[in-house]
Amino acid sequence: MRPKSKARPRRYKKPKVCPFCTGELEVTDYKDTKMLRRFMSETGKILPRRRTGVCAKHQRRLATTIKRARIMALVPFTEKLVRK
Amino acid sequence: MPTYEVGMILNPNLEKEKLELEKEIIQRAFDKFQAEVKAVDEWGNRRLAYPIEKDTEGYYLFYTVEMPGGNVKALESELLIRDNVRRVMIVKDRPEWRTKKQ
Repeated sequence: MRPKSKARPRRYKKPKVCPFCTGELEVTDYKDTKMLRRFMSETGKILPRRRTGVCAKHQRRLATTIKRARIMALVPFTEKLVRK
Repeated sequence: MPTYEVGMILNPNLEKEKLELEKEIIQRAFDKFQAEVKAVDEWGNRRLAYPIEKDTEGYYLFYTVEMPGGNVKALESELLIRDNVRRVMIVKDRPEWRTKKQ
């Protein structure tokens, strides 16, 4: 067993601020695809909030908005991953 | 009465007269369900994120409408009767959810 002192140091993470709480972006606007793509992965998945820094309340509403945009074919349900 | 946003995707290959006819039918459906049109946002043909009925484009139309809440489902099914209407989504406007500051 490895001694505990050799455990990898925790990476320091800059705390992020929810862009919806600051009034920078609009959560309910499902037509703003550019904004929504910011919170989606390359393959079209909704990103977890630990990566985007959105607060829990707005993450729930954002998920609804993305799903609405998917129905209206504004953003994809899935997209093939293109390897470079 | 609550405000709703009605989003629609129509057939992108319609001619001008046929498009006008579709819009007239939509307007008639609104009148039938006491929906008062407040604003129209017409995007026209736009590329879709995925093909719908083998078309990669769609004609986008958005109406902002005021109507009694009980009529939403009936209006949606009425609008979907036409074959040229491919998607209908009626979303309630929630001013208390808005986050953007002016």
